[in-house]
Amino acid sequence: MGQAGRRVLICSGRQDVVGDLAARLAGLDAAASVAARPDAWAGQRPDLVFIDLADPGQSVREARTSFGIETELIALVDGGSVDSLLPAIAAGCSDYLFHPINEAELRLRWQRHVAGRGGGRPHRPAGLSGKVHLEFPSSVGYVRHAVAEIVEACERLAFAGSRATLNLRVALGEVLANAILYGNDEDPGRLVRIDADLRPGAAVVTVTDEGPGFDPTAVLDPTLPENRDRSHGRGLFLLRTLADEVVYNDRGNAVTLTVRAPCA
Amino acid sequence: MNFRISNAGGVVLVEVEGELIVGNREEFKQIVLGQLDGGGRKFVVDFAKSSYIDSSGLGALVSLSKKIREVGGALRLAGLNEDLRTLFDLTKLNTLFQISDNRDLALADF
Repeated sequence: MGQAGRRVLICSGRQDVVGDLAARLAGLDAAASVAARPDAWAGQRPDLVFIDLADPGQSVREARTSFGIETELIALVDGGSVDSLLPAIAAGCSDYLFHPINEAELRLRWQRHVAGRGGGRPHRPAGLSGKVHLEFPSSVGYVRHAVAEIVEACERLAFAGSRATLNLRVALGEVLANAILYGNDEDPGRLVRIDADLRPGAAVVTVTDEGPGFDPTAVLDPTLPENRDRSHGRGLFLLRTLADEVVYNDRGNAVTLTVRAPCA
Repeated sequence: MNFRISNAGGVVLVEVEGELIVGNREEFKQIVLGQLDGGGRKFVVDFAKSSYIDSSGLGALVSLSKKIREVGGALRLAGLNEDLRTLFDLTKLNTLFQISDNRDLALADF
């Protein structure tokens, strides 16, 4: 597939990570030259670099400086290093890949890289189109990061203030929690996908899980005096109260929430 | 996100730094329940350094408040910013919790 002889550098002090990724890359494209040392190509820069965020010896900023804009940087992230992902994206990573590695996700990253041919150009042109896409395993540890990224993008591309920090933040957090806990049953093998369209007039965010879907109509009113002491049942209430529009697909495994800009 | 525990004149003060959400509400509950098991009865949760609570976090507060009341104690909240105040107003949980503007006022109320 794709371009012959692509140079791929894996920056990780974890030998098992290097070995696993190198073997998978070789399986994807036998012509790719995969190495764990930056001097492997006699002065030539790598085309693609995977940086292990769990390895404190790695620096995205240094990699960006040392390899230049033509080299694409992809962050390798796991549950323990997910807090480093936003800084890694800010420092120059154009994408990320979860570890343990999902074969389909790696293939997708490789196809994007080969198709892009542009090295460090982000393939998520949020600054231009207002569209942001995220995909991650079903673990509640990712909710914080995912919500933060979408809210930050909303403040940058669409609108700021409490419509972003309260309405969008809480409504999206509730949708993601439901998708992970109930939709995907917290199965890390199932993914949650976010497709956000952030424009000055409104933030429109669709969250899709891989579950069988559910019936959102049978919910108690948590504000009634007899329900206030209950520890559950506020998620859908907050979603409906804080979002301007909430639409489910027929199967019930995808919900699109809209939060409009102030005075839009 | 982090939780800091201290003792302020017999009141257990829990400072929430960051978020109280689905990803850390169990940790929060275990910390407070540990203090309850250790004999603490008066609790103030300070949200001055927090800007995000979700329904799971609200549920954890409701559940803890109930457990603390069952043994004769009390849990009070302090330092909620405008967004967080709005959440408590929307869910009517402002009727369930005593909420003070800051931790000093909450501590003085005990």
